[in-house]
Amino acid sequence: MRLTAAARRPGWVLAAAALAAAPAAAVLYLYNPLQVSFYPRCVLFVLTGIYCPGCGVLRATHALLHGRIATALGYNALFVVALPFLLYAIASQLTQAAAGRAVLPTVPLSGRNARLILWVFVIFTVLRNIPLYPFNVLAP
Amino acid sequence: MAQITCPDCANQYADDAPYCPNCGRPNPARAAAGGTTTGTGTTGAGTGGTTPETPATGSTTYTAGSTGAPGGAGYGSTGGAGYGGAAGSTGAPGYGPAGSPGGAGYGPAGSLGGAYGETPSSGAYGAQGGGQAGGGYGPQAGGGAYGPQGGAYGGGAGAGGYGGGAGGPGGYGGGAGAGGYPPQGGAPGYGGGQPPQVIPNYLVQAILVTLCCCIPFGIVAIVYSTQVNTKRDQGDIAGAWAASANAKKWCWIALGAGLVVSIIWMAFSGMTMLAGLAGGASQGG
Repeated sequence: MRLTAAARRPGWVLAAAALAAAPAAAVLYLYNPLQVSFYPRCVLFVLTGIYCPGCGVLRATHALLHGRIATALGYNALFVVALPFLLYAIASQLTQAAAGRAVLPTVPLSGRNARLILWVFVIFTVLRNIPLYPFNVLAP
Repeated sequence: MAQITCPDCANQYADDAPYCPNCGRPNPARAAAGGTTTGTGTTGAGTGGTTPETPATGSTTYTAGSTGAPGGAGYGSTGGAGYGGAAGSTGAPGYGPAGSPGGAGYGPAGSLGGAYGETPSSGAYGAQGGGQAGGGYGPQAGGGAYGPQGGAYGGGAGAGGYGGGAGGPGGYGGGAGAGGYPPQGGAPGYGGGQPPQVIPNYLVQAILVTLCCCIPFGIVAIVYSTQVNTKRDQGDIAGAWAASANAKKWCWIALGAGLVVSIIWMAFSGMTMLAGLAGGASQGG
């Protein structure tokens, strides 16, 4: 009955993450990642010098929390663009887990669209690592 | 009205009811009647399930009730609804002739008949196999079906109103049950309607760990989660579940690795701060 169990508690991990997000956002609001050093560093960047698709998320979040959307886009455009959709998807899953039924309609996602998202991630990661003008806009 | 005891759940119910209102097992005394209920509900009964649709996806996992599940049983005065939406998943026949019950709404309020299908593999009576099919008695009557796996999702709607209520389709392409209160008769429900199966693809989680953990493992999770819906749409339900499990696993790996590395980093940077060596801008997540 593994499947049943999975269907019954699809959201507790997300719920825990959502709970942890509030204090994390508070810390991010108060401390600029550019000025303090206690934030976790991107391992991939430290080891290889390659920007991962998530590089810049902390700085972008800090900028967003202060209302500087353009600055946030400069740090991680993909994250800023995806954020509203992610938040909606999280809210949809959490409410569904809590209520036991779909409250906010889930976005129907065909396999093709899901693959599209995957390619967006891959291409974004490649482009932001090209150290030339039109591409390095995407770099954090 | 005499009462009988359900052999399965020991529920006591009227002996002229076609199905146990609690678990949906057909009344043994009337089992031969199948979906064609006798008594007063005949007009609406049994029409739905006799023509089970085949799943358009060609999924072998989902065989609709092969011999045509009993359609709805409009049970006399209480409305009620579709036993036999046909087809829970693998179609292990439940009680009654083939197929699985969609939902059995028997009872004064009809509303949401029985089933909330849970397991894809068992199409038994009552609570399994079928989606949540509405049976109608009363203003709100039924509703569409919703079963996470194996059951219907959306699909046949219960018509509102007195007696009209159609049983939902059982599962994928199932025949529909029609219920009916005698005077109006039940409209035959519509079968199937290609309800997509709900298999968690963890795409949101995968994207989150990719963005937040800075570990390439998140990409692996995204790759797997993209396979879930593709395989499901191709009818490869087992493969879709496997991809779903892999996506989940790699989400955890990425999250765990990201947390461990972050904690190590923060401990390290805390020490350097204490040593007075910290400072400066930095690249990082």
